[in-house]
Amino acid sequence: MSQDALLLVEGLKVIFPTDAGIIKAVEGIDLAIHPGECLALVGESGCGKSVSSLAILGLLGTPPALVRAQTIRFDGQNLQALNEQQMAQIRGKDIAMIFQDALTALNPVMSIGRQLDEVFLKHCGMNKSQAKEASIEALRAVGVSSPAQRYRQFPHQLSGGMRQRVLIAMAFAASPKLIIADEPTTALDVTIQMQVLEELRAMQRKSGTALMLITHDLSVVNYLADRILVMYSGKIVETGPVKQILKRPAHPYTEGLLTSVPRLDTCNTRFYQIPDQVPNPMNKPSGCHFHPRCSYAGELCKQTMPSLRSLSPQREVRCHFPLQKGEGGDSQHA
Amino acid sequence: MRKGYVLERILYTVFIFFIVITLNFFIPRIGVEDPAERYYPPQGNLTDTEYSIIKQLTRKQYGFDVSGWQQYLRYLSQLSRGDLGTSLQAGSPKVSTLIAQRLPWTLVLSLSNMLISVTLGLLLGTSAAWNRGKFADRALMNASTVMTALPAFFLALVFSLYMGFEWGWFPAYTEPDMVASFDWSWRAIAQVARNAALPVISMSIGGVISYAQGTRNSVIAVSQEDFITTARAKGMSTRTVKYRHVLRNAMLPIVTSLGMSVSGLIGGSVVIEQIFNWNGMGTLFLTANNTNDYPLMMGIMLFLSSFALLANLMTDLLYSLLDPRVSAGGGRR
Amino acid sequence: MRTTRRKNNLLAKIWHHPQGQVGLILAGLLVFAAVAAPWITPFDPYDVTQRAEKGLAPGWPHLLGTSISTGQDIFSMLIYGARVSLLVGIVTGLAIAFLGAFMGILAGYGGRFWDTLIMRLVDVMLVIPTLPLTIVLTNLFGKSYGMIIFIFTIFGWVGLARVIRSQVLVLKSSNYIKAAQLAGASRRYIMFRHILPGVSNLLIMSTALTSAGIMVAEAGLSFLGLGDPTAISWGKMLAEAQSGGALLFGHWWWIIAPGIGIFLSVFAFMRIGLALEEVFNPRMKRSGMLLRLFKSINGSYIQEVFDAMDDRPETDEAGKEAAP
Repeated sequence: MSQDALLLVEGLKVIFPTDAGIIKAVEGIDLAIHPGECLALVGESGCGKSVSSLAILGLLGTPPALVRAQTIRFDGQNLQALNEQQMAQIRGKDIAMIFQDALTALNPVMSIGRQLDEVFLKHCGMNKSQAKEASIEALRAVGVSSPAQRYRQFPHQLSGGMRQRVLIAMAFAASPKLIIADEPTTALDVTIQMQVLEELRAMQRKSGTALMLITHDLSVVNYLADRILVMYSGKIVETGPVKQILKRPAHPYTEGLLTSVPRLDTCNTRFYQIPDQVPNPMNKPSGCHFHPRCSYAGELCKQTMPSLRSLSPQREVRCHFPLQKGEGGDSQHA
Repeated sequence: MRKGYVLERILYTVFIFFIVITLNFFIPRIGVEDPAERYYPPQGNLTDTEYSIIKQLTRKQYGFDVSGWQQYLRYLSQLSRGDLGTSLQAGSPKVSTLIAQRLPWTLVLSLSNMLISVTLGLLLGTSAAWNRGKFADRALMNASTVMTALPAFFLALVFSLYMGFEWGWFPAYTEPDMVASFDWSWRAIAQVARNAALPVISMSIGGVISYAQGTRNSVIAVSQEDFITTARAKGMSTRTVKYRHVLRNAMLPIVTSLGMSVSGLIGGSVVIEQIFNWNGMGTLFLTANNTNDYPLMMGIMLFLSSFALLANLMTDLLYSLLDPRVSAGGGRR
Repeated sequence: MRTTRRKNNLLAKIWHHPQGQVGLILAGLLVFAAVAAPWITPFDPYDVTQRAEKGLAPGWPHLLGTSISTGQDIFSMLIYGARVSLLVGIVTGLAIAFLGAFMGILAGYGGRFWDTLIMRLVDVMLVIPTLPLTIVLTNLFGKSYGMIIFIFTIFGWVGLARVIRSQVLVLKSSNYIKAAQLAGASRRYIMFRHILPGVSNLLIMSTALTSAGIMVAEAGLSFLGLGDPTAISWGKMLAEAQSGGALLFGHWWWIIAPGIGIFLSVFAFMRIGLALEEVFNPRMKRSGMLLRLFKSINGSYIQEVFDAMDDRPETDEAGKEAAP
């Protein structure tokens, strides 16, 4: 499984030492993305999903962050061994990123055309006029209307949906092998969200790019992703194929996430909420980090952190009392 | 930059200019009903007729021989001809002539001060920001907390005491023949440089520190923006990110403070000029104040305000060139 | 009750801020010097009968020597000078805070008319050359500290009002104020209950920083001979030192002493202001502290933190290794 992975991450840990204590943002996660696949990283804000992606690309400032990992391998290369200059060759060309808030993610004093050109100039060996043509073409490809005009405009002159399309165009510009999309539609209106998602899916299908989708929105996951990886408080709590997990979640946290999504197809008028909040990353609960919020928690959960164990060949869960019985699991609910 | 925006700024500047002219006319008149009474109180050795003649003349000299409205209109028409008025100094020189004589000398000080402050400040500030938390950065930040609490005129006195009197490096007072014998020869230019050294050093220390601090904070703030992460995620080299993405944005607040220093370019050196007895606008103004030469004071005030207004206009236009958000309607403040 | 507790908290917070502590101690010393001046000065600088030989060097009993022009005790003048500096600085700082808050809130929350009017006024004030106009006004209205405070206030509110206005605009668009409006709260209620508390941090902080700035300005004005001619102030001491020949005779103490006075008072209030800024705005603080901590953190401790994150093998044999 890990041999043919495009991106393989093992034991990724990120901490932020501060004067008030050490923030444990990511506590050792493993993930693998295969060519053309869409992997969704799901969790509440503050669970460490964005930090993980920035750490993989070497975009976290050190300081303030400290990053450790056993393996970060992309396409046969050990990313940890590369210097900043070599990393810059990979960013944008082999791995591109789409950020959440397109207004702050675009340089306000540069025309969007110039910002797109930069990618073509840097990675595709084009000259200025070729880059301009390619940029206009890229804008057209993501459904930006009158791309030649938009090329000259500045980010503040575009609508939110248009800006997000610009970011998508920018990410696909150098036909990367992997795109990391960090909450690509969260800042948008629901109607625009759908259009942008469709654009993203079409582009991904067309180019065969692998996608790492970071989101807290399970409907987006359902729409785009093949596999899902649920994170809670810096750890992976459940992973497996989207269909199986959404239908039959094994971790109480995943179940909580699912039942807190309002559904139109059931008559349940009660709206479930996971009680309390994500634990303070400086002072996490003992044992399973989720136990204070978990309705199934037993004495064991307060004392020891469960390890990630396999339920079926494709599914893993980090729970002493998983909700689904797998071949390996033998525990019952307390 | 939109043409409409430029026109709007210019019209607005003209509007403010009118208010400034009006204020400039009225402020010196607050509390002065009759300059003859105020500046030439009755003296025992004059007869009533002699005294009333003197009063008459004084009123005429100060322009108080007609009613307030007529004075205002007269002032406006005089200004519209480009006439700033006539000084009460011996020989009745034109205010504009006096300003023209003194302005270059003040500019020598303030332009060198600004040049040093901006260049050194930008260099120090950016290098501090890029070496954040390291020795150079901490040294700058510590120096700035100390130096901003020391007023320039105190530094000027200390420098004058040591570098001027004790060690004799530079003239502690402006050499009396500097202005009179200035003839554009190398000798004369060197003399000006020598005399300007202490005033400029004492003025620019604070300037360098504040520009450096401003630049540092601005560069650090911009470096943490999302679009910088985007640029890095696009694979831009560290150099490109720094110069094309960070600096360009970090310069925006610097342009604003640059505009503010330009508008204070001429009026800001009054105390320093006084300490070194420098032959500039500041000492001209103080002399005018001490001799109640208020046509001259009004003239200088109006000149300074117009200069500041023009500098503000230029700053706004330059800013809108650098930041497309401004002329498109979003505010910059 | 509640406000006093908050104020005490605030003082405690500044006290616990390393730089704020320096500021508080210095400011405390200066206030003590100003209040207790008649009792702690060895000579009364105002009393003409207590003048000594002119131009003495530092020694006993004239710790900082005497002035060349009048033979006044420089150390005593230094102590008395704190009165003018603190009085003008603090009173003007407070006055500017009131006027700036009033104008800023009126512009931001008083509707279009007031906003336009005040912002035009601000633009006018910004181009009027402050120092020359101050000189003209002190000349017209007489040289007293009341006048100087008045003039500084008239010119000083502009910057603060702009900052307050933009803060009010931010607050105005925030949801909790919209909610209060929808709930039918009166404008006056929202103004005092929501807007004013929302800008109070900014006001407190800027009062300290403005006071520091005003102290410099006061010294400059007194140096130019525009302060109260009968009072003793540091700026005036410097002017007397210059005209009395301190530079010429190399009497450095006569220049350094008032300079240190100015420096300490300005420094103290700046420290307090900056400490307040960091207390109110902890994000700024963290960035600074973080780096210092980064140097001092213990490598092996960090390693322990990293190690502790790993999954510990459980008694249960179904470990992670079992995963395909």
